[in-house]
Amino acid sequence: MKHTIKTRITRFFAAALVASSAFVFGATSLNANTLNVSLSASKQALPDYEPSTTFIKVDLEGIRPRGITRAPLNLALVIDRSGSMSGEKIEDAKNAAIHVIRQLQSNDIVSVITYSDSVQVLIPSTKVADKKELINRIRRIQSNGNTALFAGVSKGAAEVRKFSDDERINRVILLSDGLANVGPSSPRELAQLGRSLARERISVTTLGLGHGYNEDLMTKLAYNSDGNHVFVEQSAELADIFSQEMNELFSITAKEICVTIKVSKDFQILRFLGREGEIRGNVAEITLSQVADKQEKYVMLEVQHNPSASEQPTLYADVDIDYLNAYDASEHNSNQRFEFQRVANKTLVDASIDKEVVEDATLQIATINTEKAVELRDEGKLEMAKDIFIANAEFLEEVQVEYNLPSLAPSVLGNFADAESVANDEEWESKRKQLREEQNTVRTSQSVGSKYNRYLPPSEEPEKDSSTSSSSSKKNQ
Amino acid sequence: MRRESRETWPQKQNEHRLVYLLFEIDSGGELSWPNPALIPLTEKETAFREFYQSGNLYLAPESGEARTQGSPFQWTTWFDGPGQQWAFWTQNSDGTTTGIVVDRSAFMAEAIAQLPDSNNETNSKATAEAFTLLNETGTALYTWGTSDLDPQLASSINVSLPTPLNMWSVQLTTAATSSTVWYQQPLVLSMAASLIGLAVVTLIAAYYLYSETRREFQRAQQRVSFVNQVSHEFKTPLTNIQLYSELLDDSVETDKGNKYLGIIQEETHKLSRMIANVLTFARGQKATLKVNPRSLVPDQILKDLLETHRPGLDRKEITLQQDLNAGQEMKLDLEILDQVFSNLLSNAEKYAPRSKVTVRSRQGDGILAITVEDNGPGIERSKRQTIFEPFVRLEDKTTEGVSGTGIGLSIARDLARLHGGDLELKSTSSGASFTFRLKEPE
Repeated sequence: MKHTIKTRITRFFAAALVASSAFVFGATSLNANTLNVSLSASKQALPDYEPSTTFIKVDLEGIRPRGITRAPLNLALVIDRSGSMSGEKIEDAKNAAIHVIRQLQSNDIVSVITYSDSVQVLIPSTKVADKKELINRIRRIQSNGNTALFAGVSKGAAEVRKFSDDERINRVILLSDGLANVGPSSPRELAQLGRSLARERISVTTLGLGHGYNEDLMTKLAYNSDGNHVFVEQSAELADIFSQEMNELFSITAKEICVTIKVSKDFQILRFLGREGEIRGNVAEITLSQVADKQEKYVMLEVQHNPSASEQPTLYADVDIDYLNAYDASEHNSNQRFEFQRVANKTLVDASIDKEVVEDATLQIATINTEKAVELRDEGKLEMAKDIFIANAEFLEEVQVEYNLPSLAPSVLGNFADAESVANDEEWESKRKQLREEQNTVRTSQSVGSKYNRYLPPSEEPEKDSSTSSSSSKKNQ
Repeated sequence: MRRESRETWPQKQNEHRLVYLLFEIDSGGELSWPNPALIPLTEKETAFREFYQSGNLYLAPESGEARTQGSPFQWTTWFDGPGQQWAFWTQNSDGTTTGIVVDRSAFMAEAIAQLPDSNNETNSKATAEAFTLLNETGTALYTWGTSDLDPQLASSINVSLPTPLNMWSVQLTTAATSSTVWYQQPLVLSMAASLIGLAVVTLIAAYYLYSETRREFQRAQQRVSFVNQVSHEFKTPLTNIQLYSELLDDSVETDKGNKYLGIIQEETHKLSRMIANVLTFARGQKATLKVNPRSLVPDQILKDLLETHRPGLDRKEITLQQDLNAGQEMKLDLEILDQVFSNLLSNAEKYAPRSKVTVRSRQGDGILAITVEDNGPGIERSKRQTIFEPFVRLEDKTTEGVSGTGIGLSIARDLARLHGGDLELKSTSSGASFTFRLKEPE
């Protein structure tokens, strides 16, 4: 009888809502199955006497469980065979593609699409059974004609779509050296295509070869579908670059990472830095396609604190993450709360500053500035573009000094160097591609200049800087 | 809007790429979805709202262009940004209109994906024909067929696609005389037909997604007012129960009777507290709850609570397994331990009948950790985030006839957090596992 009364009424009521808590339980990082999550903020103590902004950072790191084999791939290689690829370039591209086939296993699915004026589905989506046959077909590729890039990517995505499922890593790798001139060719249209592909969980990695490709288009396609973008100066590097991309694909541990950040009432969400998400009132949502083993990606949210007369008792950010284990497609969830404090004096605010978050936020802001500079330079406003680079360098220098962050020094020098190259047309052409690649890398929160060096073929140990020689020679102009 | 899990939309998953935006218009012509009164709008939705309110998108049965024969769906097209845009919509029996704005890039990519490629190895070279799909500005979208036709010797003809793609056309270039091109018409028509078919499926999928979300918000709204109403209703009878049980006290003689009376009184006191707290919650006021720790042996308390719940668990044919390792005395708030644990047990009763429930307890370093795990149906991925929110209850076949407001888990978690701990869910499709931790106050 007691049970009945209690449960009848308890069916309608449970208990009270708790109001006040100053506890932060234990550590702020959780060991989830294949993804490590940790929360931090640029300022944890906020002034109660004036509005202030702080950056909330959600750090994601892939963890590969012991003794586990990699997830099977569902890959489409889309290769530009327009006239401009003739000679060494197309041969290097073919060799790189063959190298990819050799690295795949019988459980992987691959397709090869080539395009010039029209599109050829050279190898429709198939399991990697007869490698010889696939390699022979690739060898027969010849180049001539224009560049129907949009169509090539569409057909590539259609091939991946045939076998796309949770248990596979679904990816299109696009290689192009030229300007798209057949079909939709604006960065905006390619960006929109990228977003629609991301919705169906297909990412596109774009490799831009040489100096003649449209880097806006290529970076936007990659950025919006959450794939990688690499500026490949020499076609001889292609085999290496493809290998590195394959290594990343082989070591993906978590996919479809949906991050939802809910902030308490006294906060106002301003924007995401770097990536684009959806902001509704006090809830911000963003999705990352994948994180690989030992790879770190982050989401950064800028929020403003407005102290109000009727104070909410707690200031917090509630971060909820849903993701798939890439190996067995099992679903996982992680939930953490980051608590802030209200303080009355500035010393306490300063004591709560997290330098790492400040550094990352600074780089993101600096990237937004360089994008503005590129825009101005495109409009022919050389002097203004140069001024922005210089101002950016000075801003970075200020932050470097104030917070003692020597790691910002290369960016300071980089911006001064960029300012110098604005006036020189020839130098700028190459510099612009470099900048686009760097901007894309920072926006997708990976460390610049070492895009692939976290990922090693599973058999190799310890870590070897096999890629930094080629990437650093690009950076040190 | 929330992501939907793949289990719910396995085959429709890929078609969502064609949906740029969902919208709904009420019978008065006002945009009712996306609705800022229900949920704040994103930038994209705000832009669409402005676009609609400025009169640029006019949807009405008479104005619907290209009414496909026998189909309830209509197309409306306009120009914006890079080019032609399409809305695909239908009018419902209640006078409301539901539709989608098509994602232009995905739509073009889909058209290309449906068309043949130009693999010269497989295509016969005997038919020397080249096809080009042209968009609304006459620019080539996609080319297929032979690429080595001599333009001097070739003749071409333009064939418009059926509506809504009537501004697009296919240009056929052939070395043969033009009289042979008439048989290409069916190809063009079937292409357009498959595109429209795809769009229809997309719209249906989008519509269901929309109505699910809408219902969710309406339910949430209902619950808030419900709580307010019912709490008042219950306060009076509760006071009476308390009163009469106290009166009964004087006339009960037996030990058993006294024991039961004692339980009634204890429970009603507890309930009064809870109702008062919920009223406060419903009014959005601040309530400062204090943790009242006292020395207790966690395993003892758990065993008592399991005894109390045993009739309920037995009725639901749940087998219980215990793995208790918290036999040392600790200072904890009994009420919080009781409420959180009881909430998890009653959830297991409700949502995992006929399953095996394992209760584990561990203690160390001033922390008590309790896990309640079942091997029942588990919790859908799409719901895992929402179950901790107030007023959300899983709604599916298993919960028909189960009452409850759905406040439980959100409050349970808040209580655990007040006690220096937390409440977490780990769920795979083979069951649900909740772990809560309580920390001894310093």
